[in-house]
Amino acid sequence: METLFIKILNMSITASYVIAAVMIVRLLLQKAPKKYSYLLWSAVAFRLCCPLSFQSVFSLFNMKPFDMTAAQSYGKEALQYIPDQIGTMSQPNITVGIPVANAMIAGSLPAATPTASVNPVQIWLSIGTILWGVGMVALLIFGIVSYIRLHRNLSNAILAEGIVYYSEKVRSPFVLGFIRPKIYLPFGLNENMQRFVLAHEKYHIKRLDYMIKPLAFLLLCVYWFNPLCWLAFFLMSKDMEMSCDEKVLSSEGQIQKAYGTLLLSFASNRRFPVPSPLAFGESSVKMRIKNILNWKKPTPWITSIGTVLCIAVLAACSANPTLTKSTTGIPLNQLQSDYSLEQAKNDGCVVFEDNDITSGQSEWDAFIKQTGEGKPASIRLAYYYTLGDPSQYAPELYEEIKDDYPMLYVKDLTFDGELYTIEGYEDNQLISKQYQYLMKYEGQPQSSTAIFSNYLYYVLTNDDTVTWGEIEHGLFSSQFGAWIDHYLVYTDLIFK
Amino acid sequence: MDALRLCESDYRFMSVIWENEPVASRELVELCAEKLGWKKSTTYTTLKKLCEKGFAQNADTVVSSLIPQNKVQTYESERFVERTFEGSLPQFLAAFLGGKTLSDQEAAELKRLIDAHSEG
Repeated sequence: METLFIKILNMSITASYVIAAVMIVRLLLQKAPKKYSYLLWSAVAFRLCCPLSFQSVFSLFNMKPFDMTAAQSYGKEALQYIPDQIGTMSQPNITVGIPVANAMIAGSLPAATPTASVNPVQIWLSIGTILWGVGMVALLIFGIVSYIRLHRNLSNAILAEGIVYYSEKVRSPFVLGFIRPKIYLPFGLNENMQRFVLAHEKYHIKRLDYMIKPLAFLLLCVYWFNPLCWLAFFLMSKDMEMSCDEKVLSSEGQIQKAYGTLLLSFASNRRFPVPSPLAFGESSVKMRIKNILNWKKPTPWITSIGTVLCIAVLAACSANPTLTKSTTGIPLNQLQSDYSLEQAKNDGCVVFEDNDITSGQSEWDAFIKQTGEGKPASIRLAYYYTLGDPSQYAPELYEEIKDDYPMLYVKDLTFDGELYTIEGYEDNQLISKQYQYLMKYEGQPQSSTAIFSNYLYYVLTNDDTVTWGEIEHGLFSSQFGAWIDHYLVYTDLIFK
Repeated sequence: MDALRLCESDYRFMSVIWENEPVASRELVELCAEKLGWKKSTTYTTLKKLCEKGFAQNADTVVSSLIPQNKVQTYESERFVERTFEGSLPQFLAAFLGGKTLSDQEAAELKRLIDAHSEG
């Protein structure tokens, strides 16, 4: 359940950006037919429904200020801002895909306190999950109950013809029903009015709006905690109505005055005032009437611009970004237990066989370039160890360890713009360490018996003045305190 | 005495009775299904309500009116369902967020806008 909640949170963040983008494009499309604005919301729906997407250079998230490197470090298909294992991470780490904002968030999350039995982030996660579930169920029940109440209230509506009914309980016309929609009208509409109204409602039915709206509501129930989703739902409803209005106008001709008056009469035909609990900008009737009065038959020019813009925005909002080749496919803890050297090579890991790089040099170079510019990046490293010649070992020892080899350790190295994190699983335990610097050391070995003539190392340290000699000295020295905290991530050897 | 008043749907239902009385209640159910699009339960509920109000009677499953048609007028209901739940299910949220009702001033302003609009 908590994993699901994290997935929902991740999708919610992506969708929020898409909602913001759609809202901006809506402003540009103000003069264009509203069906384009209406169509744009499908990109939001897609992002809210589907965690995975395809990659494209035209992605919205390839633009500034986005940088989704970290969000894609767990998989290219899904944007993951909050890692699944956040509750158990020693240093909880999240991204929002915008470097400036990331910097503000960094460090605000409580670190795991080794003395406490539960990680603070884990507690927050549990509380959040419960609240989310309760809110979702409450909103769903509210929706279902009000649907049933409305349906019961309309049971004595009088059949006009086909699927059209009259009811004195209806103030303005609407469509109701998920499978077999019916149109409900108030009594006493004159012939012209009824024709306009039916044209509007029948267009809703033709376009399956009566199904789209409840489905959108369902999404809203899931994402109720995101205010942008409420705003999106509200604006989508408005675009839906306005595009139906425009359909009526385009098929009926010069009826703006009559149609506007009709809407006004529906809206102001009230016997008792109801204060709206959440007054939100201009009332939609007002917007609709103004839209009707300003309506002009769209010129081919506007239609083509609208179509092109619409398709472009839909594609850009649906696609995930292509970034520096992210080497990671699936999260570390979900790698299959028999993950092989071949697979590591195919997946674009930087592979080291017995401490020498054998694959993924270009991925590594890209990582170094990216981090050299201070940009977040991530890369997957695979360390492969073989036993080599049996004669190097005592026969008993060889017998004991030979079944354990060859060994493959897979680690993720992530740079968030500030710190490097190296993490991997050992005995199903997540081991994660953070360092400030990634140092490059090049040279010849001091020992004349070394089997290589040149080395190139990249080492994580917390001290950018330390030399490789000092680190090596610390490794072999028995002197207390000589050990220097470091993590050797990259080795390229030139053999004699 | 004021004329007796019924809401529009009740009036339509009574009209079915006036046209067909005396009518067997089973037959009335069929007539209402055909003419009004009503379910059986709706017909019986409404019949019971109007019998209690004294507009009709149901004697031994034969239904007839107690008040002639020319004494009855319709009135517009004051109870609008979608006052609270604006139409199709989630539209109540639009009402919730957007406040579909207009203030008198807003209505007047819109009226002026519409009137000023010239249809070219």
